[in-house]
Amino acid sequence: MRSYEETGVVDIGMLKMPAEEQLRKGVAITECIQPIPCNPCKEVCPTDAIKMDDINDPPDIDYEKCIGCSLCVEVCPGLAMFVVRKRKGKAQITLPYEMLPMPERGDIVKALDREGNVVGDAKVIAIKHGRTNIITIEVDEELAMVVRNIRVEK
Amino acid sequence: MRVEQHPILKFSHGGMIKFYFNGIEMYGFEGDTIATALYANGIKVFGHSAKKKRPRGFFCGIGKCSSCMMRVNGVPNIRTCITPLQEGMIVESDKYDLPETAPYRKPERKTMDVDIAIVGGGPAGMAAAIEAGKHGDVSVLIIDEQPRLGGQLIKQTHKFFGSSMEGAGKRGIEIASEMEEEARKYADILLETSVIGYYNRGHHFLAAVNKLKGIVYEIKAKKIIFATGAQENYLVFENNDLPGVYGAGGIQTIMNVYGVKPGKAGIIVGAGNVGLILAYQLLQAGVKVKAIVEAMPRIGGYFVHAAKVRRHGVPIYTKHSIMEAVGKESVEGAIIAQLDEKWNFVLGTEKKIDCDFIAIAIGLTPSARLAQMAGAKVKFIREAGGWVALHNEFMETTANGIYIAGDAANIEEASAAMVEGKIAAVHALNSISPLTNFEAIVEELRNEISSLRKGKFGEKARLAKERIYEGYYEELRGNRSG
Amino acid sequence: MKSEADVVIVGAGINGCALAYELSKRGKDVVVVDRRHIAAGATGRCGAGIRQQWSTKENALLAKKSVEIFEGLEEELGHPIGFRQGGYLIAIHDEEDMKQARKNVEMQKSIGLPVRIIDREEIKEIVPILDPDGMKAIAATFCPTDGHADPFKTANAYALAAIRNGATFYKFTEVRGIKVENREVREVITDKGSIKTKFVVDAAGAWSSRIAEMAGIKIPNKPVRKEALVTEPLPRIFDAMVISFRHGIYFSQMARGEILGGIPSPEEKIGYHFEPTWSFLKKMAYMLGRYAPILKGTNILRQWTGFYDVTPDALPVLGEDKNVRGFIHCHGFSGHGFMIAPMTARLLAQLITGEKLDLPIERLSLERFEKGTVKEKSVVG
Repeated sequence: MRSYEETGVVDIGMLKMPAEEQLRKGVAITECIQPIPCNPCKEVCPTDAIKMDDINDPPDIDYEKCIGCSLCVEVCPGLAMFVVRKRKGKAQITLPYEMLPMPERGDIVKALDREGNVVGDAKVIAIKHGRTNIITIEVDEELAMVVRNIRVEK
Repeated sequence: MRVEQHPILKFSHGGMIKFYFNGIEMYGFEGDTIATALYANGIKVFGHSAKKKRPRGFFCGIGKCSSCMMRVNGVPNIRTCITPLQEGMIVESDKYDLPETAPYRKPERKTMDVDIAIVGGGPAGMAAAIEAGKHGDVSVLIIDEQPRLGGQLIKQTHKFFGSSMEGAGKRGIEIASEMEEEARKYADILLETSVIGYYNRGHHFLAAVNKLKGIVYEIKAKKIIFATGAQENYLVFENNDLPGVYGAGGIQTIMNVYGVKPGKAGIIVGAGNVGLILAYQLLQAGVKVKAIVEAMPRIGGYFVHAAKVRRHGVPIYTKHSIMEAVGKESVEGAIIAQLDEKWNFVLGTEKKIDCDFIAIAIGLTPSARLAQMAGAKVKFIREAGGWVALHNEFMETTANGIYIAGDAANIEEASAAMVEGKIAAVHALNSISPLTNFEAIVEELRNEISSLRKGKFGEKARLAKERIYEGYYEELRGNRSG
Repeated sequence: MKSEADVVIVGAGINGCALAYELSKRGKDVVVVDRRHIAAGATGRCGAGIRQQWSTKENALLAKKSVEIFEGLEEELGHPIGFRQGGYLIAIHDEEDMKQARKNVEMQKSIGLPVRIIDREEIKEIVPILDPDGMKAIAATFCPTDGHADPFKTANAYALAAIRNGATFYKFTEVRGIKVENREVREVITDKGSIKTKFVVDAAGAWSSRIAEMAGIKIPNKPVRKEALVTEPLPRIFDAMVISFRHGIYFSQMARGEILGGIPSPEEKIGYHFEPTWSFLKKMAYMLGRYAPILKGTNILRQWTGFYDVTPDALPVLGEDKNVRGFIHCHGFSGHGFMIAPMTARLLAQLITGEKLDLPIERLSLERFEKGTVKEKSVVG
């Protein structure tokens, strides 16, 4: 049994890691690791960067083709897509956010890891309203693969 | 207790309605059911049981469990969870005495004659009606006991998985309203009407009742599709009848359909998809989720659903279950504990969690009884969720012209339910008057459904269906030889 | 499966169970075989009333003796049977009814039954929810020692007591044949094996003619679909069973408060029709509303079907077959098997063990149909 099936927290070792260079460009990170009959991410991708031979296959992202546009973040029914971009010692993380209250651009919010623990502060640098609102935050670079959620305290 | 703001849902409450609860004046909104209006007023205890005087509240929220029954305008045993609130209603806890005079007026009798009658207006039923209307010139009737169409879709705020072609990424509520609009084009719809029985009178015949309006419908139909859904499974633990112990679906109903919170903080028993999704929906409505407990050693639902709630800090305790609900008149806490290999509690591992509700999300049982009454042979098939009506690849049961679709046929997901509804409708249509492209339509639908059942998570459904078909053909052979 | 037994009883309804008890008490090695389980047929589907008010003396006596057994049965068997004596209230609708009622009451009194004719006021005293106008009743007869027992509990109590005495029950076991040689019963063949025996008892209810046929015996019984319904539980209102021979209706309030009753279905059919009917539901609901208007608006929880095993004169067939030795008739109860079971079981046990019978049963032999019979008039459901 894989530990994520017990904990609900992905084992980072299971994820396909982009190279530093690709992270600097900004790429989508998928945390969709189980076979589910679902393909909106593949359909929405403007650069065909998401490979999925069968609808049940988990998405496989070609980091060369991926442009980090975040369309898949917005469309993913499982809220399992993120975009990570490293820039000037900071990491910009685009994540889906379906809670209230909504933060505003420039707000400092709590950065949470995959278990909901506060691991630092995050600055909201962009908000895109859509079917699922997506928010881009900025955190310390070493938190690029740690932070996956925010808490807005108003 | 109302949900004040919600990231996904907009609650457009109607006007204020005055009603009386045990003589006390209260207000609800137009569109409320009696139960949600009581909840919004902070009333959790609807009455006390006849014999042991145990407090009673609502549990399932969809009219299937009868835990919420009260006396309304003098009529005893009204299911308050599905009865719309009306101005001046007198709502009373049942005192289990006989009324002074019978709360009765002579019912109006209406007879109907339709080609296809569909019982249940959820995803399977609506899809069936739309498909039938699209492909043929037939009269279609949907009967549902809820105040609105949509079944369980109307409480699904999460986005659906699936193929983009079939509207994946849409939320259940969006799918429900699109389908409702479409279904209304093709079908007549009776709401707040319970089908009380099937009778063979030389033809298929349903008796249905709108109790509040006092109408008895006598419906003759060429074909019947039972899309009657499922009901919540129950769990045995101490005080499990306290108000505040709810079915997961019941919470989704009052919270996502009526905008009323089930409480301030709760725990969820069961980490299948329903439990996980419910946890997320509670967070969205501003309700705390203290824990999800799961008896199995692993999380049963999709990992992505689990990850969504974990990153909001909700703990999931696998190999744990609930020992006891704490509280006098309603839930004040829960005691959970670890389970050993033999499913016994490990003493010393008890944890008391303060909460004012407990959600039971341990699976569903198909509601196949009406189909059974219509002559469909039923069989206990564990993978399908219990007693199910045996049926073939066209969703026809062992009773000629009687179809079953959706959760009533096997516990599965809404997308599969919709395709099943369509298959049933096309087959029913074709046997009323043959379609030129019947084979092609059916093949496409069958491909669609088998792709939904591919992969690890489709395994249970595949197995269930195999056993259901097997049983069906065995039954058919048995009938011929016998 | 056992290969031999003194007596094989086919059918684990009330009669099969009671007879198994009476025989096992007398030291007989008894086997009961049923295609399903205890009380799965008519026993578990019946109104379970116990009435002594019959139009013929023989029947009234049989019923009276049964009630005497019922009164001490819990103690005798060591298990609860839910017996209570709330009486039977039988509607009298007109002068003609009254004439027959007077005759019946006189006979019934002569054998010691505390029966009496009551007026409309007393009808309402005994069953406060009744409306004599709606009933179209001018009076009623009432016998306070009539009553009711829980059919499941009673059958199970008999079975458990029989098992304690050494009887064996084979449930979900179907009889496939009966071997008869030299006009004597030799063996009962089931789908689970065969049992050698000298006696086989046909207590198969609506399926008794099929069992008889296996021994080459033709009986005139017909399975007649009957229907019953039960309402949601109500507060305790009355203890009596209310019946009318004219309307065919019967109903009473059960231990949990629900009202259980039946009426002949307009779609009544001979044959194995298991389906409940809409016309029964409507007719019964309408009549209940007429008899007890306060019940209008009460929810009906369930309706179901069962079968009367009906003979031409509505009386049971009891006793040993004249052509096949060891074949014991215990069927044809025509809707009254439950209430007289304690006594019929005792009589048949006496017959099988060669004791003297407490009551004569010749008049209930199969041969009576060759001579022509008088039909029992006091029949409902």
